[in-house]
Amino acid sequence: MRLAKTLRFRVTLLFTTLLAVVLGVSFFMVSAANLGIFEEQAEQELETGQRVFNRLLEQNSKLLIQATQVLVGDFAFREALATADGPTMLSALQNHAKRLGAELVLLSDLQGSVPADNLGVARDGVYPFPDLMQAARKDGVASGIKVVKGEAYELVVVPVKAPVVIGWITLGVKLTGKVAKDLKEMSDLEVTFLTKDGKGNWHSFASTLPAEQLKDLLSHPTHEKRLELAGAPYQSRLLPIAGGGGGHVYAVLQRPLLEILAPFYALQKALLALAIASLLLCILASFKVAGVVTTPLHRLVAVAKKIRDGSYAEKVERPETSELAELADSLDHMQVAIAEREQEILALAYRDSLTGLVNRAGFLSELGRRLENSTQSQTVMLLDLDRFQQLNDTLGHVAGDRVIMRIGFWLHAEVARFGGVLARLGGDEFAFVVSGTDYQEVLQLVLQGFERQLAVDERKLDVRASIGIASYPEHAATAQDLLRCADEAMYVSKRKKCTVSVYDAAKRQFREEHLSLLGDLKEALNQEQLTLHYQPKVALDGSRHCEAEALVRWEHPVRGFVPPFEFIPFAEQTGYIREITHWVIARACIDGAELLAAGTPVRISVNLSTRDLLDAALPAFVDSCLTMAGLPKQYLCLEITESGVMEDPDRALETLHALRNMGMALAIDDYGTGYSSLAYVKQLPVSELKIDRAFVKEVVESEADAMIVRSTTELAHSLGFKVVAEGVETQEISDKLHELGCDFGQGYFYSRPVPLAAFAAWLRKYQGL
Amino acid sequence: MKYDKIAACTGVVVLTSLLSVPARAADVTVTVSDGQGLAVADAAVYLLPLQGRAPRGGQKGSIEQIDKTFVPYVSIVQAGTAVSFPNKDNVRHHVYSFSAPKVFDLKLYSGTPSQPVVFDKPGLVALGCNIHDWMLAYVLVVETPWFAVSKERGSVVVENVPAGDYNMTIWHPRMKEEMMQQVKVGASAQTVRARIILSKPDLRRQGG
Repeated sequence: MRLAKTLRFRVTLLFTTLLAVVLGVSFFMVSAANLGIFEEQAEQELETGQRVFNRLLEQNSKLLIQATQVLVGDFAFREALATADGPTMLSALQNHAKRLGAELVLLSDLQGSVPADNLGVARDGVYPFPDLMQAARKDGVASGIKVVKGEAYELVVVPVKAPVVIGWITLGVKLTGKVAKDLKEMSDLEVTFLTKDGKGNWHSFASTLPAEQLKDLLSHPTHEKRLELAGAPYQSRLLPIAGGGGGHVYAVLQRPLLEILAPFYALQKALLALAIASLLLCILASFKVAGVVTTPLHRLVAVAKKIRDGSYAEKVERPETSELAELADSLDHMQVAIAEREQEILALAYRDSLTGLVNRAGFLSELGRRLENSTQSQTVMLLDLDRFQQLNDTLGHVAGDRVIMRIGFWLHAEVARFGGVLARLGGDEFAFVVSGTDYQEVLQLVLQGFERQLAVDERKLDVRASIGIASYPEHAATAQDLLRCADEAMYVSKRKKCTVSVYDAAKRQFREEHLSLLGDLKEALNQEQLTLHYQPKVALDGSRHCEAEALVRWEHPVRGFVPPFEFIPFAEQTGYIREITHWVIARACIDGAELLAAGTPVRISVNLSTRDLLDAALPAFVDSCLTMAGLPKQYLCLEITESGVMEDPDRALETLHALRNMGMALAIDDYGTGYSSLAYVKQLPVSELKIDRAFVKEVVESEADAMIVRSTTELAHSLGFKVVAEGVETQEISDKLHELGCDFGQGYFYSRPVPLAAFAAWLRKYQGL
Repeated sequence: MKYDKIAACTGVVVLTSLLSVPARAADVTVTVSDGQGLAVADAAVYLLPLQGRAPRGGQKGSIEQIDKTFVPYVSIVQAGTAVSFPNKDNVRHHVYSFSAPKVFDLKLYSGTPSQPVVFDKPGLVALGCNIHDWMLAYVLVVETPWFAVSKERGSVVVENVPAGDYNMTIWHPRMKEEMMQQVKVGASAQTVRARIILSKPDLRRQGG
C-alpha cells in the first residue's frame, strides 16, 4: 500500500493544504498590510523630516539675515561703508563677514554696481544675483541658495541703511558637510545637497551619507521614492531648493528603511514561525484524527483478508464510529453468509445429484480422512457396470438413471452396514471404502446383490459389474493412488471377464514404465533409435519363393532392446503410433527398393494399427513413399488385425478400399484370435490371411488345431485368399502346414527377424544365389 | 556713497497767472497734490532764478527731536545755514548723516548741542539717529533763499519772490525724482498747482 494512496495520508494532506493556504493568504495579507503601515510610517517620517528640514533652512537664512542686519546696523561699519575708500570698504566687509562665518560677501550700491566683492563673483561689476536683489528690493531682505564657483551657498541680501537704504550687503555661507550634519541631527534624515551639471551628471556639495551610498545615489535617478543604495533601502525625496542663475540645487532627504522595517521583519519572522508550528501541529493532529478512521479500517481489512483466506470465525471488533460499526456488522454478516454458502457449495461439490451419494471428490476427501485418521487398513472396491452403455442405448437414459439409482440404493445399504461409505464416481462407476482387509463378507453380499434381477419399468434386468479391489497401505499410500489401483484392478477384471480382481503391483510398474517411455519414444524417432528387422515368409511349395514381414525394433540407449509389445500398445494409446507407422512404411519402401536393386526383390509386409486405419491420409502417404523410394507397389503388403477394423468399421473400410484401389496387397493378421468369422473377413478387401501362432504351435500334436488350420485354409482358398501360417518353429510343423494346404510359413524355423543386411544374406543363401 | 541729483522733469504743471502787471516782489503759492488729487504735505519747493545769483538769506535752522522723531521731517535750507538739533526728549540721541553734502554725527547728547551743524554744500542729506534706527529726517540744501515745505493742506507759500523767471523744483521723499518747471514771477501773488507722483514708500516708522 503506497503511502500517497492511503486515506490517512490524503486526509492529512487535505487539512494541511487547507491550513497552508489560509496561513499563506493571511501571512501575505498581514505582511502586505504591515509593510504598507511601515512604509507609510517611513513616508510620514520623511514628510515630517522634510518639514523640519525646510524650517531649518528657513531658520538658517533668517538667522543669517538677522546676523547680517545686526552687522549692517553697526555705526562704525556703516560709516566705513559710507565714507571709506574701496579697499577699506572691502576689508571692513571681510572682517564682519568673518564674524558671521560667511565665506562670501559683496556690497552693491543702489545703481546695481558692485564696489566690493571678496570672491570676485560679480562679472564686469554687475551684481550676479538679480533675482535675489529683486526680492530684496520688494521685501526688504532676501535669501536663497545659489551655486557659486562650483559650490552651493546660502545667500542673504540685506540693505544698508543710513537711515535710508544706501546699498546692499550680500552674504553667503557655504553649504558644507557640517551644515548637512546639523540638518541631519535635527531632522533625523540623511541630507545630501546635489546639482546636475550641463552634461547631466550629478554632483554632491555635501552629504551625510556614507561614501559608498553617496556614490550609488549619484549614479541613480534621484527622484525615486524608494531607493536601494549599496544594498541598503531608503525612503527618499528629491527637493529642488534653488533654481535660476548658477544652476539648480537639490536636496535629497532620506530615511533609512532598515531601522524602520526592522520591527516589520521581526514580525514577519514571528508569523512565519507561527505558521510552520501550526502546520506541523496540523499534520500531527490530522494524522491522529485520520487514524481514528483508518485504524479500525485497517482492522476490518485484516478481517476481510482472513475471510478471503477462508477463515470465517474472525471476531469483528465493532468500532465506535457508527459508519464503521455498520461496515463491521456487514462484514460480520457477510462472513456468516459466506460460511453458510460455502457449506452449501461444498455439499454440492461433494455430492452426486442423481443418487445423493458422495461423488468422486467427496469420496477422495472421505478416503483421505480415513487414511489419515484410522490406524486400520482400508480397502477400496471399485465397481463398473458391464455393458451399461448398451443398456442405456437400448432402454434410454431415463431407465439407465433408474438402474444407477436402484443399484446405488441397495449398495449403499449393504456398505453402510459395514461402516463403509459408498460413492458414485460418475457414469456407471461406484466405489466404496471399508475398514480392514477382511472384505470378503461385504464382497460376497455385493456379488449376491448383483445376482438378483433388477426390475426397471416392468422389465427384469440382469446387471453385472466388474470389480477392482485395492488396499491401504498394501497397494497405495494416498487416497488418489488407492482409487487408481482399484480402477486398474477393475480394468483387469473387465479384460479378463473375471468379475473381481485384486490390484497387482507388478502390472502397475509395467504401466509406469510405459509413461516414462513416452518422452523416450519421441527421441527414438528423432535420433533414429528405431530399426526394421525382417522375418521371411517362405513359400511352402518348395519353390524357394520368399516374402518378408518388417518388424520394428527399438534400441534404447539406456534400456537396450525394447520389445514391440512394450511400446507399440502404448504408442497406440497415445496416438504416437501414427508417426511410427509412417516411419516404418518409409523405411520399408527404401529397404524394399534396395533389395530390388540387389536383384532379390521381396514383397515386404508392414503392420498397420487400428489408428492407422482411421487415417484417411494414409493411402496418399503410402503412395508418396513408394514413389520416393522408386518401389513398385506389388512389393509392399499392409497387414491389419481384425480388431483394428472392428473399432470403427466404416472409416477403416474406407481406408482399406482406398488402399486396395491403389493396388496394394492387404493381409489379415493374427486370424483366429478375434471373434470375426470368415464370412465377415470375406467382406474385407484383403488377399491374404495369416493364421495365428496359437493354432500353429501344436498343429502336429493336436488333431483339433490341424482341423482348424485345414478348414480355415480351405475356406480361405475358396474365397481367393492366400494363407500364411505364423509361428513355424520346426521342420515337422512346416511339413504339416504344407500338408494342410497353407501357402506360406513364417517362424524361427526359417529365420528370426534380422536386420536388412542379414536378411539379404539369408535370402541369397536360401535362394541359392 | 553718492546721490544722483536732479534729472529732467517730465511732470505736468498747470500754471495760472493771476496778475498781468509785474510788481517788485510777490508770494508764490504752490499747491501740491498727488495722482489722486490729494494734498501732499512735506513737499519741498524752491525756486532758482534763471539769471543771476540768489542772495544769501537767513542763515539759521532747527530740527528738533520730539518723541524720538525728527521734527520737521523735511527741512529745506540755503547752503551755509547752521542747523541746531535741540533734543526735547529725556533720552539721548546720536544724530548722524553719511550723505555726501554733509557727513556729521552728534554723539550722544541731550538738550541742544552747543555747536549747530552748518550745511555748506547743496544736496540732499538724510539724517538718522544711531540709537533709534527708525528716526529719519531729510535736509534739502539749496542755493536759494526762496523755498518752503508744504503743510498738511498741501499748500506751500514761497514769500517775497522778486519778479523774474525761475526754475521751480519740487521734491518729496516719496518721489523718484525731483520735478522742475519754469515759473515767471510777477508783481502780484500767484498760485501754482503742482501734481506729483509718489511712487516710493513712506520710510517713516514709529519707534518705541
